[in-house]
Amino acid sequence: MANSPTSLTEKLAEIDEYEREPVPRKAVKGFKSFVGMVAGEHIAGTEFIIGPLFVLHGVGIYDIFLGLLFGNLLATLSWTLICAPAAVKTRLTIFYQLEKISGLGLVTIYNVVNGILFCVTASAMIGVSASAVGLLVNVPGPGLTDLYPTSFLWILIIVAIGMVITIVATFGFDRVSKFANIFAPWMPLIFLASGIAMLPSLGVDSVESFWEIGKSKIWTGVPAEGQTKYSFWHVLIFAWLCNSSMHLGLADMSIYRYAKKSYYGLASAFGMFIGHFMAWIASGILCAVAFQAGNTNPSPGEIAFMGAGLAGAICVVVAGWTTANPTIYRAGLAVQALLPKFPRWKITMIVGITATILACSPAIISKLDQFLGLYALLASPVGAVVIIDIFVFPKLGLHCNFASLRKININISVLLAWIVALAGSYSIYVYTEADFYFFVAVPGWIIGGLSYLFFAYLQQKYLTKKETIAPASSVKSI
Amino acid sequence: MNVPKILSYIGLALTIIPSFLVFAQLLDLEWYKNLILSGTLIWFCTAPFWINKTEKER
Repeated sequence: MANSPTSLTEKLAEIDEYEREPVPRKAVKGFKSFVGMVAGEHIAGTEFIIGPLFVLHGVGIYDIFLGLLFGNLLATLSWTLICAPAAVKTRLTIFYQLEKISGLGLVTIYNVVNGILFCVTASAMIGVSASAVGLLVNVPGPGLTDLYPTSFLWILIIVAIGMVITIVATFGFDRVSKFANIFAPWMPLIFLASGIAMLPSLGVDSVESFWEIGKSKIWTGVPAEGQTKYSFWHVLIFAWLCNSSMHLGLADMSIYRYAKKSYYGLASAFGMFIGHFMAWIASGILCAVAFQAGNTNPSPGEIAFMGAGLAGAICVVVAGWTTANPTIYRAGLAVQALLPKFPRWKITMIVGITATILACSPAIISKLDQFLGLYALLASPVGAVVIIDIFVFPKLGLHCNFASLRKININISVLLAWIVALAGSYSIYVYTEADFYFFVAVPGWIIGGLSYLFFAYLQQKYLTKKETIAPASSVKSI
Repeated sequence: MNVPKILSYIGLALTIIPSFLVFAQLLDLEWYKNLILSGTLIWFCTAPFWINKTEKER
């Protein structure tokens, strides 16, 4: 027993998250681990915001059901056919894989952006959880236009929630997954129960009357005053691409590198169809009930409390936790890639503390949708670059992991592809007057992939003439 | 099937069934909220005992 770790520091140092090496066979996880984790992650407190968003923007009843069906199906396929195969083939994080392709200089920029945006996302989840706790203990939280916390008690609530999330994330993927597993079966039931129980308040008393009343009182097809009209395409694109940075952008390689088989990407369906279908429908119903009661701007905590009482408020707190945990874990990995000699658990702790401090500022939280959209715009071309490098280059006889092979700091073809894709997709965003940045994630992904192929072909053809480099067959992705 | 697991499933049932009773107008909202809170507490107190354990550990 002399060699067994005794202190907490030793135990934390022993947790190996394989930040700069492939996940070994002994560490891969079964399908169930992914189901619990994604189901927990995609049922967030923010579902109580997005469901009402569609109601406010006058989505019709057919548009909401069909748009969510096809959009979530496309999202699931994006994880299963794009993200998970890349993760299982390399068994590396996106950060380390990208470093091998683009060089340390370029990946540093990517990781800094990732670290910041993950921190902001996690801080928003802490804020949403705190809004529900505040409601329970009668401590009013700050409004969206406030710049500073409203009271010392509010800060204490934020700190307490931030501590729980940070500690869980510090213990690594295993603890994050186990924590989510405990709540995964219970959370969707709260959403479902509150949606069903509130239907009689709208006058729905049978399955047949749901469609008629849904059309006249919930998804009426008429936007609220001052709101733009959302169609079937808005719903489909929203459902497909709101997490595009994770599937098309390959951020979830950090998670799926632990999958035994690439079809484990199908686990994402549990997150999508429970969190982004059923929960958005349920919160839309609750929103209509709140409107009927005269509350035109209900908060997530208020909606949940109205629909399920104390259990609903607990659900908002837990939903914030289970989304923030893997987000802080990913942020820790992003920053750890910049400081490989610094222990991951210490970095995760610093990231968690940063997210907790940010959560005190509602000004940052209110811009969450813009942060997420910006992240999708930046991440999508990077995902395409990695996919082309892993799967297409070997078939064309081009060299994979070029920066690692040539020991270069910045792979110019990746940099050019990124710039071209960002300029192209942003131009489309402006030209089409799209509602969110992430609506142009797919054009960004396609432009990024094609331009990387073009620039890398020129680069490698030119370099091959000037210098001798190892033949493609001798270079394999791990 | 061990006792905590059976209790957990009872907790989940208490979380969802009352909503259908409200829909069928057999239960009022106050009782519904009390029952799903009870189901929630039962789940939280029992699920950690078995949900992350393998068959061997159990």
